[in-house]
Amino acid sequence: MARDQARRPVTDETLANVRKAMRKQRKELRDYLAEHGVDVSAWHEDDE
Amino acid sequence: MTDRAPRGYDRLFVAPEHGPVRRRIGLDIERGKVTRFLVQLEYLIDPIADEWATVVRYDHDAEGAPEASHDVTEEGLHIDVYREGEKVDTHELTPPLPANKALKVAEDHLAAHLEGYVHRFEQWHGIKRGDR
Repeated sequence: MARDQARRPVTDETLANVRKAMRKQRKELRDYLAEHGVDVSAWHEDDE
Repeated sequence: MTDRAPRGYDRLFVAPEHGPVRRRIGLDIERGKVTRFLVQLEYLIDPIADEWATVVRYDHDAEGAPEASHDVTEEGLHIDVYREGEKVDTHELTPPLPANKALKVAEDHLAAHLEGYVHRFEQWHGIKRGDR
């Protein structure tokens, strides 16, 4: 029963936080790629 | 129902670090080329046991066995859909393309479909939404 009680759907706020974290991580990922010599020219099309 | 963690990637990114849904990215780079990557959406199905399940996955492996991995430079980018811990579907998303571009496409695609994938996963696994 404890497991079922813990299985609550994610809220819209949670998803918004996930998106925000993903956007932030995207920049870290791009920087990491660039540091290791990967062509990141396509990654600069970052507009939403 | 926990999926295996990405095996031996040079670098891992997890976002967000805390919360019931997260995106995990694993990456190998050799001489300026992405040789392997994984972009995976994960859902915390049992917070008490800290048990995570894969929701969807995009991957690339230029050196792995063909039957076990996708090479996006030859096959294009695919998305694997998971239900109850098993892969239940695979969709082609692009024609063949360079791995570094495929990684960006995977990121963009997941961001665009995040809510839909999460809601569908919750439906499939009986995790009911609070209002209706």
